[in-house]
Amino acid sequence: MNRSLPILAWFMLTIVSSGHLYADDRSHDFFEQNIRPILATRCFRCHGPEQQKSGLRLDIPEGLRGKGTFGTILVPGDPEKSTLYTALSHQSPKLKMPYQEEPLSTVIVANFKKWIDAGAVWPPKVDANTNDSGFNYNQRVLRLPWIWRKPIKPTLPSIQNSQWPLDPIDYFVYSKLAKADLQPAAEADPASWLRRTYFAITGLPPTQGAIENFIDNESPDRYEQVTDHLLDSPHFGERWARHWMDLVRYSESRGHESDFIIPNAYHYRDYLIRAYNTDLPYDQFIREHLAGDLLPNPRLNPETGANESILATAWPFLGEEVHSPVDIRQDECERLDNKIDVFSKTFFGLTLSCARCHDHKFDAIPQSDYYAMAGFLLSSSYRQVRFETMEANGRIARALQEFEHSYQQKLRRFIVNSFQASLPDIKRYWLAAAKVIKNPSSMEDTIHNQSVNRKQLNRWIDTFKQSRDQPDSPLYLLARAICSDNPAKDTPLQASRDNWLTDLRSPAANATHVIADYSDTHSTPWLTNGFSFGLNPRRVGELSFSPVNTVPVLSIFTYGAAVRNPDWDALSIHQENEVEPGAMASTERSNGMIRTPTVTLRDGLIHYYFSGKAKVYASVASHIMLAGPLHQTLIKELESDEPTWITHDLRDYKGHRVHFEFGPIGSAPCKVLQVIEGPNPLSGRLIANRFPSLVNFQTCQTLEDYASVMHSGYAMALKRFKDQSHPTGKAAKELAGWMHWMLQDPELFCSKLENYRQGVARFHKDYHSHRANRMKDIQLVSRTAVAWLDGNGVNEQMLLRGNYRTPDVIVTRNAPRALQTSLPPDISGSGRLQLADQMTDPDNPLIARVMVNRIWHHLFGNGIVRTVNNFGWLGDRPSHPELLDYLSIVFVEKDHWSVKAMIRRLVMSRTFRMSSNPVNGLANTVDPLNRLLHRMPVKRLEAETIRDSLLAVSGRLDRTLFGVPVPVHLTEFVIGRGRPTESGPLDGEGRRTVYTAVRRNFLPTMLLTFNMPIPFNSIGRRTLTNVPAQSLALMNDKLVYQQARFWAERILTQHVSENTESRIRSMYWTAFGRPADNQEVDLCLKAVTELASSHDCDRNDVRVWTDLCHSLFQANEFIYLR
Amino acid sequence: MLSTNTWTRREMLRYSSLGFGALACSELLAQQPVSTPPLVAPTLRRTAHFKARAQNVILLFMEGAVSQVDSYDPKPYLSKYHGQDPQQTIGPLEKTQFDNIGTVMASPWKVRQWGDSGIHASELFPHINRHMDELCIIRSMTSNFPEHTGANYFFHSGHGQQGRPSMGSWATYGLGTHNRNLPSYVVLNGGRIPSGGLDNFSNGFLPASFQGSLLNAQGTALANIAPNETQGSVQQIKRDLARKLNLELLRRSGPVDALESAIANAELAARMQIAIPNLMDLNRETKDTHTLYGLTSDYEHTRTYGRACLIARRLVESGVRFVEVTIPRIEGIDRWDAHKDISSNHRANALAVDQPIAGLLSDLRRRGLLDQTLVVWSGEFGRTPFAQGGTGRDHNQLGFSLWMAGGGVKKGITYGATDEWGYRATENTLTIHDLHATILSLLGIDHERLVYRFGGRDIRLTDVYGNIISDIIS
Repeated sequence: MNRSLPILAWFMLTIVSSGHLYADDRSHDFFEQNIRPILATRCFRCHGPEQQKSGLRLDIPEGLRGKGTFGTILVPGDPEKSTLYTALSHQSPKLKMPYQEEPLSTVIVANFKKWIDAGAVWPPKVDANTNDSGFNYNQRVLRLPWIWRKPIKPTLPSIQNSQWPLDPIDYFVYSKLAKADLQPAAEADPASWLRRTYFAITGLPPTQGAIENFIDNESPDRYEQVTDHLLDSPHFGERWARHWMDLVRYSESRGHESDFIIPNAYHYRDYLIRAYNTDLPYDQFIREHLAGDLLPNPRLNPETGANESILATAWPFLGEEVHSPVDIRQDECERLDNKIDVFSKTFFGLTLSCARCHDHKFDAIPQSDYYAMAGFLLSSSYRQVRFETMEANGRIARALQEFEHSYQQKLRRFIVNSFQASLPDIKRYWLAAAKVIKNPSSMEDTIHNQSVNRKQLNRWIDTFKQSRDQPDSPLYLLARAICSDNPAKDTPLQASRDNWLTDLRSPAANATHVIADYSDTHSTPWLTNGFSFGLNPRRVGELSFSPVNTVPVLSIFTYGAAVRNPDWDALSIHQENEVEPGAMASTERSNGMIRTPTVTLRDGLIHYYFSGKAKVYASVASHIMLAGPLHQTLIKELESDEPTWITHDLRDYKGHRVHFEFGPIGSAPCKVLQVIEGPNPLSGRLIANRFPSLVNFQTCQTLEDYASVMHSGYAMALKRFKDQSHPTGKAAKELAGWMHWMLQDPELFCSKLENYRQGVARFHKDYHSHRANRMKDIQLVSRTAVAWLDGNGVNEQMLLRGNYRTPDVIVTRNAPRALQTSLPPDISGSGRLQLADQMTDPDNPLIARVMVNRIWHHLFGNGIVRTVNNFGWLGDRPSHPELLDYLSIVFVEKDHWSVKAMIRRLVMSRTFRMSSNPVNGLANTVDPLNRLLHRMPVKRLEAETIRDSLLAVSGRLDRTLFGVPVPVHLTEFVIGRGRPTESGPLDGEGRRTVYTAVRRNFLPTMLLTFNMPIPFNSIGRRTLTNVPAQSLALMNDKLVYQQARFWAERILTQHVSENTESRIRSMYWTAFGRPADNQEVDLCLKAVTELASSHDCDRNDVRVWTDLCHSLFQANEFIYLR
Repeated sequence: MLSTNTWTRREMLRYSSLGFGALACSELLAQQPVSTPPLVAPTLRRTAHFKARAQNVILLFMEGAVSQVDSYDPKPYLSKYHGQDPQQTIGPLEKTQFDNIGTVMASPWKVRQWGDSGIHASELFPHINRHMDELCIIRSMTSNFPEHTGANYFFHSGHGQQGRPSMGSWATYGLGTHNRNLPSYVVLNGGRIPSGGLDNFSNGFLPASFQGSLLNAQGTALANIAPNETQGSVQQIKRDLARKLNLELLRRSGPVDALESAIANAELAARMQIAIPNLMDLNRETKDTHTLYGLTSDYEHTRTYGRACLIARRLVESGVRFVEVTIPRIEGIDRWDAHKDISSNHRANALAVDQPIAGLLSDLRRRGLLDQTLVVWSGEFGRTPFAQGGTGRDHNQLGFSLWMAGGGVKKGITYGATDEWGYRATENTLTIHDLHATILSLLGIDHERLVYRFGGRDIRLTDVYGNIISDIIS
């Protein structure tokens, strides 16, 4: 090789790393595709930002310079001289990397060789503050300072016309208009205001009676009365929940190829309706969305006692899911991207997802912000939660645990008292047994001389005879000594004695890493869905009884484990509940599921130490569906009577993140001891049957020695067991093993065996009756809902250019940097609760502002910031910045985050009372987009409101709240794979549109025509189109025609005796909320005559009136609001 | 933005009252910095970025994925190594959908050279291949998604998930329509909607007027197109009444764009009620034309697809910009998705589409429409050169073939190549974004300048990618 090349390459590396010179793109690509991902996944853990073992750091080019402990780390151009290469290629016997892990594949090692050969080019790194793409964090903050700072209380503008304002809001609006020399529009007539307010608050039109009452009401506070009345209406929640559903892309199915259902998603919709109706303060609403599953005191439904708060956490799972992704990690990245997009737009009014691939092009959002948020999502998983019963049953679970705890002490005392009596005599029996075994004819003498009980002596003799051939028995050595002629000279005995303790194996020694260890109480986070596994693992040494109505037996846990408690076997789910689609349906996990922490698979061979029967789901890459040809191996059925090692081969998923969910099957028992990853199937046991800390035979020579050691071990075991100081670790296992042995053979140790047995029976009965008393209140049947289950903290790796094949450094979970908060470092779970606290701090500049702006948007047609989901640089600037600040402060400080109070405030303003007709032509010329609010805009009703109005006007509206969605009515145009098998009724049972099923791929045609958004992303502001298909729908859609017919029948029944004209006038009130003028009445009368003649029928014929009703539905005034 | 035209809404309305019947997208014309438009009416014919080679596009979408090695990219190696382990012969393989890798599998179809151009292709499509000298075959396509739904979304919208506008929406958003009585982007449903459903034809965040309107080739053509009223006079009375009441409202409210547009829309809707049934009425076509498209075939699915192809021609003739034709639903045959038996699956599908497509090409040519109509034939990806299990082929996004004809593409050529196995594209490798950039450029649109502001940034059909395949443009 050319000698100058390394020097040249070094030169390049030095310069390149300082960011001035670019090597060509191909070498960059080679590094990003083949080198950096390997460094990131296999090396950074020990040689990265967090740890630098042997002083080596491999995430920055500077870290590769100079000499390491084993020589020069990197010699560009010369792999053989680079320690990095020799270590990775396992050439050097001294140093083989990755340490104690499977070596890198030959392809990867060859890539490293290629890379070093070509000069070890390391592309320039983009700096967090300033980089080549021009990202300067501080400048970015200053670019839009107002969104990043807390709202500032503005002074009220002084205005000329002090008569106009009704609320401080009006001062801000008037002042802006005055500056542009504009006049606000005149006040709308009361009927228009009423119709506008009805739609704004409830989404339904006022009845004729309501309008007439309002017009006749001469009370000065009639506006307030109506507003309060509407805000108290249950229909308020339905209307405003739907606004929020747009933001979280609410759907009840997972879209993609087959549109599988999201089981029981509608509880989230009902949660929203209740939240708005009870005026849940918005900060609490946000807290519940971010951490409703983690709140120490969740909100309970006052009627049912159900956990209300946890329902808010369904939102992450309402997006699209792929049933069988070929590349599961790519799919995870897409899912995460969607969640982060919804998250950041909905709560912050920011577009964080731009930062997936690079620092934000315009806003103060570095790329790391995206990955800092991703960690929160990755730290929690999907579940179906028994939200209706979890609180009540949680109290029972805690009471049972407390009872269990106190009962343990009682039982321990009872056992020690029962066994202790034999302590002074027992050694005598052993020595007597030794004599008789060696000389059977000495039996009678021995009984007499030693004053031992014959029956008891025989028991011991038999036991020793058996144990001498059982190397596993705790009595093995003593039995050998007893049966030996001369223990001191017995070579085989001595050999066994010497080897006896070295046989203790720890299975974990063979592991690459321990994923979960429930045999050791403290090491593994306790993550369960439901209470079937209790509130913590059963500890080694805990006593337990045989089940109720069985032979009373007292036993002891000789190993710790996550143990399914049969007390909860009778749990079931409500018959209304929907079942998980695909293979996940086979494991009903809401009754009791335990999951391990999330880890990254190294070798991919997983070993469960398990007994009982269960299905385990290896949730790779946070995937939640199994409904296709791939990934079926992620579910495995486990079955074993005794704790056994069972291997699950996940080598296909090496390098992926995974957690494991154990779901019991039927009422089968289930004990999970350990989950371990390791290259070879494991052997060895966790159950101790040798007790070095109690008995140590090392120096024993004579029989007397053996017996003394055994005897003192016995005494010590009883003493320790009685003591409250509970040993831990190995000592605990030994003690439990010893006590287990004793409890199995109480005859040997109890001088008063009958008393012991009666005692056990008494305790058994008492224990079960106490528990039964508590358990009778268990609520067996529950509905379930989609919710988060918190896991362990997981931090995401930054992906270069957003590409999952090029992972980079790990980013710690955090809120966006510009919000200037940071989570405490010692968080064990996801940290969402802490995030929620910080986000709802009144100092957060965005949460209140974004919400106030949304409310304004819904009432006035445009937000103060029109781009309600994007307050950033590419969004719009606020039209009334001081007003927005004012409202944000009022929202938090005066209204205490009350959405109803804020709506009331806006609706009661003079601004909201303006007519939609401008005061003169100038206004439209100066302010064509009405940014200054010189009038109220004319608004088209939303899709749902149009349908609801049809039902309300026709009289068909069923005002029932909540519940299972009404299936979509399927027309021949609602087609595709996964189409629901049954069509819903044409009129959706008359229910409000918010209760119509939202099947992502099968949305109702008419609603789509009127711009109901396809739920793929957060929509804060709907597109409103004006297209011929809408006219066609009103002309020819079957539903519209059907409702016209209902309406006509109603008119003809209710107004039997009335003449045509009065019927027409009444119809105007109902459909348009105002009186008809004479010209309009004339037009309708003429049409009635013509229709009757065309149909060749009477003027009172239902066909005539159906057609007239249908015409009014087609009139613009029906769907446009002034 | 396309036009620097500064018409006001008022002027537009005047234009519409002269019979145009629709308002244009205000945000395009007025260049307002609005993230989502206010009220938007249908499309207006607009000027292109540069000279258009094609006025219209007909996309013949072969959903389920046609096998390239059994059609337009035949490979002798497959016969030579038939039955051998592909991991040994081809080398390391990417994971496939079913991951049930069988042996290298020869094509069941014979291969020959076609036309003067002498291009090699199998005998799977004997009718189409008679037009070989018109075709521009691309053999180096790739996709990013190896399963149908993601790949279908990607093929249509340049994005692997639902929610983005389809290329037909982008094209009509960019160009508007020639026809005042019909939607500008039409999907002719041959019986089978691609995986991912109607979102493949979605307008995404573009105004709804740009979404693909689904017309059924059989039965009722369009939702709500059939009048409720049995008597025309009744409908007329009702429409008149609504119109007069609308004018009353307008008088009360003063000039409001939304209300004026809605009046215009009602009129267009009424015209569509006449135009669409006329369009679907194939009795006006000659017997010869019926035969040409296979409408007289014994095979039901040839007749269905033939009908769709014939309507497609009538649509472009009427000035509809973008027409997509979906494949028929054949009992027991899952699209082109030949996981089990490539031979029976592809035979059934080819029998349905071959003659109608050939008929469409002939018909377009003889009417002089082929020069201004770009015909694109493609699936969402290709299939593996090795078997899935026994005799099927699994998905393969690493290399596949499509063809184009007419509308400014070179004739009788092949472009790009896969390896000896037809497994990976190796020469002039192309992406879906390149295809999109090229289709738009043939329509006269610069894909880098056709943008729409959504969610805080200007979004394109081609995202930040896409190169025009200038080598295939004539």
